[in-house]
Amino acid sequence: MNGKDMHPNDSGNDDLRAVFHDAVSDVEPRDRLAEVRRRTRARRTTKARWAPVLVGAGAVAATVVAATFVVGGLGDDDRDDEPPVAGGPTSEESTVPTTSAAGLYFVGETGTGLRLFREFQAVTPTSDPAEKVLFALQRLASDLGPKDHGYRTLWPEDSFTAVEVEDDRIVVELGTEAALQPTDPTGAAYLGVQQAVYTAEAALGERLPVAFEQGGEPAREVLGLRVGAQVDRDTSFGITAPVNITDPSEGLLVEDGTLSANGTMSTNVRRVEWTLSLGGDVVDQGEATHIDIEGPDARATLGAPGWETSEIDLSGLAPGQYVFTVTGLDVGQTSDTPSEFSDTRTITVR
Amino acid sequence: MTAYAATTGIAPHPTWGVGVNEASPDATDARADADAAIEALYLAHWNQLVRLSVLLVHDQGMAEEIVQDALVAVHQKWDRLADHHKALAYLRQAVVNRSRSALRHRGVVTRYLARQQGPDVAPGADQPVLGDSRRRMVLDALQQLPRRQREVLALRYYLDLSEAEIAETLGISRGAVKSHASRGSATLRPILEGLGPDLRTDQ
Repeated sequence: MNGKDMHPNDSGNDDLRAVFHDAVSDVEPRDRLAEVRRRTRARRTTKARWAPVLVGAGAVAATVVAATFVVGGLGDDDRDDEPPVAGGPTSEESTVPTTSAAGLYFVGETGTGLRLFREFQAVTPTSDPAEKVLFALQRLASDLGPKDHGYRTLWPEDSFTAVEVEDDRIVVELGTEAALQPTDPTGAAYLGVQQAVYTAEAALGERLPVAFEQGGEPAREVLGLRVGAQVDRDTSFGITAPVNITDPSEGLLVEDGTLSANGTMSTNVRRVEWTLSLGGDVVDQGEATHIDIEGPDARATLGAPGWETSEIDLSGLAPGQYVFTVTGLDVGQTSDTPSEFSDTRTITVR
Repeated sequence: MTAYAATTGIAPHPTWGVGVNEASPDATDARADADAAIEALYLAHWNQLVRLSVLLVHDQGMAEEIVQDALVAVHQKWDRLADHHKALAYLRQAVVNRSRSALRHRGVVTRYLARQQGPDVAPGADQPVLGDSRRRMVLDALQQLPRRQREVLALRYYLDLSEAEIAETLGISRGAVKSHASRGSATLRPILEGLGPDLRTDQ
């Protein structure tokens, strides 16, 4: 590409042309053709009349990823020692940041039983779909697991060692026999299996069933639960939490005086209210507004509707650990009777 | 018109321009046309459109997602496109619109990452501004511009589109294009001049 090309009507602005070309000259877009092909073909295979046609057109080689990449992501470094900081010091980084946070699903308590809650964590950046899924799944293992202490994971250490993304399924290789056995005394194995399916689909940004294997053979039981050859994401209303906080993340350190919170909710939640409290005393409260989540974010949150607060002023608050809580009244779709559901994050105000 | 301008203009792409705009007798042909067209658009314009989107949203990962989504969207609408020769114009428009909407709803992932990374620190006034940091400062300066000015400047100076093409892409008048362009460059110039003379010597 030549930054010095002259536009017929605009020959006096060569310098601006050079600046614009130079500004992105070090951006090397990663190859996404395979993903584009799979997404355009996936639409077709859902329509029966086109299914038998063009099977070979632009066939995508399945990508196999072994776990030798391990989990060396950004998130490892800050776990349990340094909290993420708002308005904190800078670090040297490349000109253009790459998006590398994944939506991970964990099990948490609600007033009417266990549900899946989503938490975002930084993961090793990659453009390879199978790696995306693997890196996200590996964060479900108990040695990493959720940052929010109100959540838990059912997956033991070393559960996930390889992922293969095929046209019609995601094959997940389980690295330990412990992942086949029951790991939870409360009988939440079904949610545990769904943890992996939700996380895999969110990482891939596409709806595909998961086939669990161990030693290259289909796993008949996973977390002590009998499973079929493929497990679909269970989209029934009782699986995910009716309100879920995305931002702030657990343990956020706020230094710049304001907080904007956002998250997701189920379609039947009418009102989302928030409170900020210190030692059980509410110091501020308000109502969140409904937003549509679009673009890449919508895939990470599997298309759930969103809510966000306006900017919350923290400048007058004493330093300390505050609990941010959102509460939604669910009018019946995800539970038999209208019930309140909530999610919380602990943040530190300095 | 230079070779560069020719590949970004609205002229049909040689690998699929012929034939695909004729009515297909059945859905199978239409699908094959759409597949081939999207693949040709990808091969010819992927890098350039991702870079365009980086100029608008300043995030490579997000830009790749945006252009990918735009390609899938054009594929989805293929049968309903009035003029397949204009597919590149539709794609470009989808990229600009989606970049805008991604900025508006830049909630979840970016806020999380921004918190992890913290803000950039500008070098001191007496420091030479070179290479990577100069690029970053140009991108940062672009982000400070009003959205329309940023879009107009990127389409004009990165894609080399004419005023009429920019007006069509953004759905605004040519007069508006002109005024956004002149206000945008007026704001940008002093910032760029502050970055030093090496700006234009290493092209």
